[in-house]
Amino acid sequence: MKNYWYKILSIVLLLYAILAGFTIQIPDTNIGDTLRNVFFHVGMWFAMLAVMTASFTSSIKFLSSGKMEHDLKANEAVNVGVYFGILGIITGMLWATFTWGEPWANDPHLNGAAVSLLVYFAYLVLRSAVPDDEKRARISAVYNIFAFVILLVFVGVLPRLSVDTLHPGSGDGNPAFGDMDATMRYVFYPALIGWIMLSLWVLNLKVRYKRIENFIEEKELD
Amino acid sequence: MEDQYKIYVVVAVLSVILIGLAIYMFSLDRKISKIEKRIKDN
Amino acid sequence: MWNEIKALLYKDIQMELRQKYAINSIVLYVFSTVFITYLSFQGDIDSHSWNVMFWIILLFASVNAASKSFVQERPARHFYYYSLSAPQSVILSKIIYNSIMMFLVVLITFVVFQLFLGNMIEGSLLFFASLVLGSLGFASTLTMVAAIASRSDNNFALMAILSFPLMLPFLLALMKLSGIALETSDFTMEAYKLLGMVFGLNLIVIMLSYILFPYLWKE
Repeated sequence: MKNYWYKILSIVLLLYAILAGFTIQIPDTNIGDTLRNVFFHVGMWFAMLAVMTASFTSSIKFLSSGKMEHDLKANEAVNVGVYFGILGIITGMLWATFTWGEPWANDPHLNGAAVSLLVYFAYLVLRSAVPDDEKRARISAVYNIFAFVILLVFVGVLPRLSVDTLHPGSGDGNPAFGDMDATMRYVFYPALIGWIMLSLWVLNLKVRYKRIENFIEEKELD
Repeated sequence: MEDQYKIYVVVAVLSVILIGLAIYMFSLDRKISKIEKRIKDN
Repeated sequence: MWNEIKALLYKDIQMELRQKYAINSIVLYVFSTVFITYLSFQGDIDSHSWNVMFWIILLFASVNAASKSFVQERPARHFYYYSLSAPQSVILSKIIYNSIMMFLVVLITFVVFQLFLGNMIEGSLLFFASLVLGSLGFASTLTMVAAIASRSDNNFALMAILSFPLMLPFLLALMKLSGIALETSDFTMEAYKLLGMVFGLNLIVIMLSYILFPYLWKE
């Protein structure tokens, strides 16, 4: 197993997040213990961001080198990213139902996240619309770059511009979690790193699997 | 069981789930490595 | 390079004036959609709905307009023109052409809207600014998406799917801007922030298109 240090680290960090996340003292807010969700729900989104960044860099690498392996990585990365994004939205809706009374509030942060996911769905649709490998790789690489810029705009820029949001971190402060209590940070940051590494591990597995699949297909065609 | 200790039940459950998933992912990883090695050697 | 851009632009404009295909279909489209809106609201429309309907109709009309921009010529002639000029010239001329076209679409939509649903605008300058920036923003995003979609089995559905998410930041900001313009004629702080954001987004999209179009072009 290659590069096993980050894979083991991800499991260790996540185990720590579970053990510590439920046992530390958290500040007394009106949402009570559900605040602990922040160690897991936010992790989904940061995992998606990390994987989409990997996809973005792969697309750029593809455009400059033309090697199909980068296109493979870009595509699989979008798949993994979309998966984590969907998990993020589901966990968010679940949490929202108990916190705000409804699964979806008309909130720029939420809508922005949903739209970003739509952009990447459109990427997957685009890929299915082009049969030729080489063309598909080039077109989707170009679209992927736009998609990433839109993602950054929607999760980074727009929430900071709006002042009246339900989701934490409006106005000043980080759109993910606003200002966080110091004790919680000791669990939060390692948890995020753990989730990011886990998602990169999933990506690593998927890319390797796809490579093997392609290899076997080529052998069968001979 | 006292009420305050019930949270540790949740901790235990989640740890089991995580460790189970970790074992699964490690075994998948090892399987893929084995095939990759076979391809490289052929 | 500017000569190439001018030449390509001139060619596109001439072709359009000759056939008037795109302009006619867009005018018809705008007219019908505004008329349906008018009938649905039965003349009783408040400024908020006016704003929303205006931009939604504009959204669809511009996607329509842009999807026609890359299918005007047969592929063979395509090759001939574009092998003579740099891809950057091609994309810039298409963006400029689409901006002009888009601005016309915007004006037409605005005039037809006023005809049927009345004028509710307080801050004309702000509204006009949002129209100009809006048409530029729509044009630059849609030109790039049309270029991408034209490389596949270019149907309207694909164009719509690809463009709607990318246009949403523009759309939301512009709706807010014109919402402000409908109420007041002052340039509030928020208006400046929104204007800056739309302008910044425009720049990013145009720069990205300029850099990325040559990669799309290699055939």
